[in-house]
Amino acid sequence: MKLIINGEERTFGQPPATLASLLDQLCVPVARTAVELNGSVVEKHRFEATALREADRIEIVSFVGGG
Amino acid sequence: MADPYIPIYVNDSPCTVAAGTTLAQARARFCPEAAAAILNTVPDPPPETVLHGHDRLYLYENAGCFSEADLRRLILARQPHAATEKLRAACVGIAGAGGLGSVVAENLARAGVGKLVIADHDVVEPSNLNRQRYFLRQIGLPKAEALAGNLRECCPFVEINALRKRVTADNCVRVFGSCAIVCECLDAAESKAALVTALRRQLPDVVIVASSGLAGCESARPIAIRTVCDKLYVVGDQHSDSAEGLGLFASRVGIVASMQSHVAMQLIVGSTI
Repeated sequence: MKLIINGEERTFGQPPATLASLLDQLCVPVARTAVELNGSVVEKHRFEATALREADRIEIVSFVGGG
Repeated sequence: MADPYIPIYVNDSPCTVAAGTTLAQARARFCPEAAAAILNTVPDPPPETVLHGHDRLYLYENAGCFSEADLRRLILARQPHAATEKLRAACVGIAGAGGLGSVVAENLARAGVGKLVIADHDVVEPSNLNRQRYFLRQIGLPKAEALAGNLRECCPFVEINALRKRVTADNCVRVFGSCAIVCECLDAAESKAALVTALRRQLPDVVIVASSGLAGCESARPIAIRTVCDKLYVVGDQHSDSAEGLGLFASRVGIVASMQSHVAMQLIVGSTI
C-alpha cells in the first residue's frame, strides 16, 4: 500500500487499516498532532474510524512546546 | 508633445506639478519647513531628484501635534502605498500574547494592519520580560490589556480587540470569526494542535500561521516555514521543545514570531511566501 505522508511517498508491507493504526505505527504523539487527510483536517476522535485507501495524502503536523 | 503637468501625491493628497519639477522645488512649494522628505518609501533622496507621475511624496515638520490620520500616513511612509492599503483592510487574529504573540502583534500593528483580535488568558509575570514585549509597570496586568495599551502607544490607528480569554475549540469561531488570518502563538504543544485542528475544521477559509520549535539557544538556521496546505503554515525548527528545559530566548522566539508575522503580511499583500 502506498501513502503520501508529508509529501513523501511511503510503501507499507503491513497496510495500516485506519488512521489511528498508521499514527501508532509511526509513533506519532497524537495529543500534540494535527492531521489532515486529502486536504481535510481529521479530529482525534475520528482517527480510529477513518479508513485509509491507496494513495491517500496525509499531512502530520506534530507540535512542540514554546510560545 | 509631453504633458506639461504630472499628477503626484503629497502626504496622500493628489496634486499637480510641472513636468521636470525636482524634489527641492516640490519641498519649497508644499512644505518649506519640512524636517524630512520621503519619496516612494526612500528617505531624503537627493534634492535634484526629478519627480515622476504618481510619485508619493511625504513631507513633514517634526514639531507639533499630528492628527491620527497624519500619524498613520507618516508612520507608514516607508512602506509601499499599495501594500499599506491592503494591510489597512485586513483583520488578523492572534491566539496567545506571550513571546510569540506580543511580537507578532507589534509587527503587524506597526505595518498598519487595520484590525487585530488578540486573545490571551494570562497576566504579565517578571519571567516573561526576558522575551515578551511588556514593561515592569505591567507586571500583574492581563497580557491582552497590556499589549493593547502598548500597541496604542505606537500605532493609535490600529483597531485592537483584546480579549482576556483562553481560545479553545468551543470559542474559536466567536473569537476569530472576523479574521482572514490567525497566528497561533500558544505555548503548550497540545493547545497548539487542538486550536489548529479546531480552526481548520470550523473556519476552513481562515489561513493559519502556526508555530512549532523555537526553544533553546541552538542555531536559528533550521527555523523554516512549512507549508502544510494553502490554509496552514507552520514556522519553527519543528523539534526544539520548551518542555525539555532548553529555555526560551527573545532572539530565537522573536525570529519565529517575526517569520509568522511576515507570512501574515505576505498573505495580505499577495506576495509569494
